[in-house]
Amino acid sequence: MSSTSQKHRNFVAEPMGDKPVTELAGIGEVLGKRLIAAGFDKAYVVLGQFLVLKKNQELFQEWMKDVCQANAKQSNDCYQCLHDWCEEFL
Amino acid sequence: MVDVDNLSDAELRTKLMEYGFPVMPITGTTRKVMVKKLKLLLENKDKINSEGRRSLARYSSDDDSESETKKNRRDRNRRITAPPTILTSSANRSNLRRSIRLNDSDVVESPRPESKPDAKLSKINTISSRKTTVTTSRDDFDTGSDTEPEVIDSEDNSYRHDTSRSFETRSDSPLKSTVPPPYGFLNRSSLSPPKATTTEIPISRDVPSSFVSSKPSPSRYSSYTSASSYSDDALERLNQIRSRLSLGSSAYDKPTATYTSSIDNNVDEPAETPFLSNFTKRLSQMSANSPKMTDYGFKSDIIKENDINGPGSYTRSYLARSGRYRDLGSRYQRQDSNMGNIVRNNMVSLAVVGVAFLFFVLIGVMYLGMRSDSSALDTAGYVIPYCVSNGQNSDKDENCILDNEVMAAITLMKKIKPELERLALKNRCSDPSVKPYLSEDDIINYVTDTQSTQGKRNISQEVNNLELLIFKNPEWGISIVEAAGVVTEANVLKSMKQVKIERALGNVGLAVLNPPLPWSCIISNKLFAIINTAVVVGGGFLLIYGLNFLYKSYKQYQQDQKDEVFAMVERIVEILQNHVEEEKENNFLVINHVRDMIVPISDRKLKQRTWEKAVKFINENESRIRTEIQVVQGEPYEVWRWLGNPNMSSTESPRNKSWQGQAFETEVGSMNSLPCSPTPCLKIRGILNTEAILAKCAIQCKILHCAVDNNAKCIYLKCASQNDAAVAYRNLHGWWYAGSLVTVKYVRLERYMQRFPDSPVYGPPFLRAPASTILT
Repeated sequence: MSSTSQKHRNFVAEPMGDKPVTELAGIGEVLGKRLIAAGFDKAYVVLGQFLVLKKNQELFQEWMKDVCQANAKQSNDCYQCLHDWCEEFL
Repeated sequence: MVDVDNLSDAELRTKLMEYGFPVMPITGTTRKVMVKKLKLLLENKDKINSEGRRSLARYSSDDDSESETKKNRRDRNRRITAPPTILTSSANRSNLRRSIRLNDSDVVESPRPESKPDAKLSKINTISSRKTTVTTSRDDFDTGSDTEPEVIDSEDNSYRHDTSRSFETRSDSPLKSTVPPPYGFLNRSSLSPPKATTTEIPISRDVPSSFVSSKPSPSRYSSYTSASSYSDDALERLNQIRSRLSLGSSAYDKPTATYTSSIDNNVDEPAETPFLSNFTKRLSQMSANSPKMTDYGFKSDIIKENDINGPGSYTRSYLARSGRYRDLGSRYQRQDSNMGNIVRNNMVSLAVVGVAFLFFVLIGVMYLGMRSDSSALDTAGYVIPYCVSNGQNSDKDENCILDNEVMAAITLMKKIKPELERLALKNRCSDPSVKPYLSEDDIINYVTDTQSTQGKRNISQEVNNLELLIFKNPEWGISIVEAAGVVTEANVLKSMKQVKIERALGNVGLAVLNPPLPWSCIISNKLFAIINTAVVVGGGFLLIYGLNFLYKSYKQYQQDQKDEVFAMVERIVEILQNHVEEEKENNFLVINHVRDMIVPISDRKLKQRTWEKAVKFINENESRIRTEIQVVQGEPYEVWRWLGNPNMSSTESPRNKSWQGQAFETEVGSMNSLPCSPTPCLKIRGILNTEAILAKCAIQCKILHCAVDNNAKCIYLKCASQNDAAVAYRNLHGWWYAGSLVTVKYVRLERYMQRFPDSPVYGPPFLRAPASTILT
């Protein structure tokens, strides 16, 4: 990817702490609501799912699509965001 | 195949593992995804299998025909033999197949009477016939005799071929059996156990053996040879089949396998692998040692026969055999039906082609018809309205003609028609100024000129009659026209009354409107027309091109002018700038002097307009130059004063090279900073200026080492202690510097030492902030 969004950079810049799920890149209000409805209210819960899927992009994107009808771009953004975060902090 | 949705977590995991998928924890949230994945994998697997199935059909059909009772097995084979490209519904397909099979069985019946005597023959001499199998098989394998390519070439066609060949080999057999090779003995010895174990009458034992020795051998051997020559291919298929069969674990394979193992000592694979099919064993054995394999194939077949048929079941075994051929035949048949499909699928295109063909045929017929009616001009068959006395339409000169005047009129017609045609031709082809018609007076003159025998009145009467006849006989091709100016279809006279009216005016004429033109004339006319059009079109194009060219050159000229003006403006600005740099206080120049500097004397008149434009442009659009009037050497002149760019001068943008505030909180206790620093080393991104960093935090903490990594675009920082590092972290992390966000993270000490082995381990000396920045 050539450039990342500001949201992505902000998220990756620091430990995620208690950030809500909407702080993740690629997840706006709508997807955030869906995710919260599915029980994924914090970014670290999504991170947990991300890690359970062993950082597998395909599966994670599939899961995103499944749980909140994210499109390819959104799920890819989210995946990249978590992936970069893990590179930085994990 | 498998109900994926209802698998337990563990099963799902094992299944995924089977397909070589990395195993993940199956939890409530991941389950759905994994199930989807597994389905996808299964689908892909099926696709791959179906590709291989075509070639496998032969092998499975072998097994297929053995027993009628193994329904499920059968169904599977049916699926396997189906080519993957046919996408009809399965019910349809099976119906079709069944019907084909019925047909085939009829076909198969035919060789039966033939084979019976042969079977008897082999009954008499069983041992020799068995030997022949071996010899033929050996030929197929080792020497690659003439039979081999034949069989391979005819891979998926007629079983007839196979059978005929099999009879051939049988007839050869006595000759070959005179020299029995070692395989024969081997074979016989391996054969003996089934003889011993099964209790049956000799017929049942011999008949199948003869069949085995003859019919099936070519097909099976050919398949083996192909398998051995493409051993890689075979291994691949073997794997596919293995996986497929291990899932299915058919009941059918079990008994055979165990049976053979109990009988045979040569078989390497004993009963531990009951799920492997006959065929897979055969294949694996073949890869081990090929000659033995042939024995095995032969033997296992016999065993199968014995196993299933029991005593005296000649016909059944035969039927079973024929079933095998049925399969081969069905494949053959299916090819035919494929041909049918091709025709059906291309119905529309064929119809289109047919319609086009018909269309052209029709046009051809019409054309021929048109050509044929040009020969209608003869003496007889004219429509002639004779005058009847007291008849209602007996108005002479108007619509009827006297008996005795008919011949005269017709001769007149024949006389003047060539003349009319000549005139028309001349008018059309060579000289448009010639009148294409003969007026009545012209006709009279013409006739009297050529044969001055009749009176004038007589001839005019004839002409009148002729005109009447012309109306009645349009096929003559002569028209009566107004003899004035150009003759067209429009001024053809329609009735005798009109003729009379026009005659009073004296302009009635005869003309041939559509004379038969000679080829040269047609061609020259066409050529003329074409040239005419070409000239017009070409002229049009030329005109357009010329206009375009003019427009373009005008544009170009304008552009050039503009460029010239701009170049001049640039030079003026340059000159002014240079002048200001040279003389600080006297920063204006007289406009005319500038012109004199730029434009050489010879061009001054020529470039007057350009200069004026440039001056105008500067007055209107150049903010750095002000036009004013100054007294220079006692005379007022218009001058340009260079104002420069006061706004942009000296200072840089305030955004540059400075700390611009904090993006987020990093104080102790904030979630953005760790409670205590793990290492004394930091990696700083978003800034490449070590001085700025030192200026920011060297006052508050002790820094041992600071280095820029230009490749990774980051700065490495090493502090004296972990507390110092924490201070530096808080001071740097989350700050904006020169428009970019600075991020800091901790680096392990050993990593740091790896990267910078020379960095000092302890201080002092510590790095200090540069003096200049401290002041500010």
